[in-house]
Amino acid sequence: LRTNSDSSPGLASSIKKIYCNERDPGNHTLKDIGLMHEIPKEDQSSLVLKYDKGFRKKFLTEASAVDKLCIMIRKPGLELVNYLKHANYSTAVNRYLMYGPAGCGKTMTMMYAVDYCKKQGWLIVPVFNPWTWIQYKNTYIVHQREEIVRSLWNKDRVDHPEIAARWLENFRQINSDLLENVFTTREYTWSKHEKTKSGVSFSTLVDLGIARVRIATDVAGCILREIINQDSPDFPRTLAAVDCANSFFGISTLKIEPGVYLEPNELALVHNFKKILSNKWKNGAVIVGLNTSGIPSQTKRIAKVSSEHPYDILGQEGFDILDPHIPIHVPHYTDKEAISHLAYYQDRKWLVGRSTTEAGEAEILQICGNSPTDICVYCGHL
Amino acid sequence: MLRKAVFNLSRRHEFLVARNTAGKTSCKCISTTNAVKAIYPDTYADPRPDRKSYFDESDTEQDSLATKMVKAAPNTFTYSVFYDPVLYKFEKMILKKGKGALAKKILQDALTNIKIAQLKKYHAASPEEKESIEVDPLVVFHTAIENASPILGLTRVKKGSMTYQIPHVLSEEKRFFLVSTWMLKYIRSNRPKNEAGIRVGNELLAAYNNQGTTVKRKQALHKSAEANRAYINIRA
Repeated sequence: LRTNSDSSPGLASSIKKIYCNERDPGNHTLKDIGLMHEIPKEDQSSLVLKYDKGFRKKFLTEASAVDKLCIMIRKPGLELVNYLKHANYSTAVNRYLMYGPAGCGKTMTMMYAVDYCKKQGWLIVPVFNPWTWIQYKNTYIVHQREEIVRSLWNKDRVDHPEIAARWLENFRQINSDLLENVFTTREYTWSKHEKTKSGVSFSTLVDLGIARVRIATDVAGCILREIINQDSPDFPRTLAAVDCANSFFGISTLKIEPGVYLEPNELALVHNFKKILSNKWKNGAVIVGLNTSGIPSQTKRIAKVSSEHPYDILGQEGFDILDPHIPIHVPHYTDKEAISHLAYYQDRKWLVGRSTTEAGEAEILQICGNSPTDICVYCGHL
Repeated sequence: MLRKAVFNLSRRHEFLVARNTAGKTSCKCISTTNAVKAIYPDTYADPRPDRKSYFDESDTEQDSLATKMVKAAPNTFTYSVFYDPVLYKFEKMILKKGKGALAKKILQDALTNIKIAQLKKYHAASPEEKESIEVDPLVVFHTAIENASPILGLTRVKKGSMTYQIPHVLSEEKRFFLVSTWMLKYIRSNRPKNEAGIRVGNELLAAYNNQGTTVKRKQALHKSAEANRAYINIRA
């Protein structure tokens, strides 16, 4: 018998190739599994958005300390990009649903696909954190809550003026140059004295929405309507990246009159973004992710969901809307991927000292198992 | 009353025994056993949370585990690679109202914040300066405690109508106690503007660089001890 030694270096320090040389995710193959795909600093300003970021907070503090932002190449990511390459874009839209246990990489595969689509020149509709539309940010501090107003377009629905303005700023940041070449096909009247004619570019619409916060939700709805009813052959391909989609089909904790909770269908933003989840438009793709960690509770009477299957998370209504879809399973790490994760940390000096030995590695992998978030959290204080 | 006195005596005995065997084991001189002396006779040996001592061939007959009976080990001893008794004791000083998970989380956040601050310096420095920057948070923790711990302490002695302050050497137990209480009292004093992990991490980093309030307090103690050095032999 031989015990793991305290002094000799372990498996992860013997790996030599850590980063992938190919910058285009369309050219990655099955041999590149386990390597790290790096995002350089010129692309970071358009992928890491200002308000609702796709990446998690802990990952971004780590990336700023270590001076690099990397996504690991895994099998579900290659599967998604392969579907996007060989799809038929003259017929109806395909919907790709990612499911799996919590903390295993659904959001990261979505950002990998967004990186691929940006390099091909697609138009991107980013919905990365719709939990902020449905819950109050601070339940106890009343003066820091964001406003809700009755909408002008339809009296039954409710607007989010400040949140919609932030969404429009995100939309402008991620598609920087494409918005000047896309034009509207209809006339819109916002009130008695305000109109916009047809044939106006998207960038002027977005500037209007940011300047006049009262109309911002309706501007977002008009942009989506143009995308769904597109006619001209010059219109670019669109990708709708919707994360945490089960927030549209649950409950909300907002109140506009005392004593009565609103439903998500009464919110104008949610009503408009459900239309882009359908398959009634052409020339694009929809990627949907699920999330079980932000569920609100009305007076703590609703238990959290513990299963992985999309039917249990979405409910009957949500599953019917997304019914003919392509499922992609995002599992835990394999043994080879876990060791390459540790090798990346040792290269960047995040793990130093006794955690690089054989016994240290064996202990980390025994405690954390093969789940990515547990390795991130546990290796922080070592 | 008698039971309590015996209990305290046994703890001091354990600590002294651990200190005398410090050269053989690799763990530091702060013991965490709370086994009562009255149950075990003198011939029993202490438990050791150290992997290397079992493979060590140079083991004298006095304290050899092969020939003696061993006392029961407490639940907190582990054979993991990352076990450090000084860190464990510091975590217990942070503890309040029995909330162990919160104390552990605060310490872990403090160590990550130290690592993030040092790594930002490391990746922005030139290759000549990179060798002098320490990135391991454990090493920063140990040097910070050494920098801020005092060596001499003062006691008051009344002789006639005068009270003299006499300097004397402090034991290791007392040194660690003074450092941790000074640091935590300063961190808990004012209205908090940050989270607890950030405050602990900033204070440890400042002590590593010989700055901050705990290092100032130690320097003030040393100055007053040197001022009173004429009274060393006054106990008579």
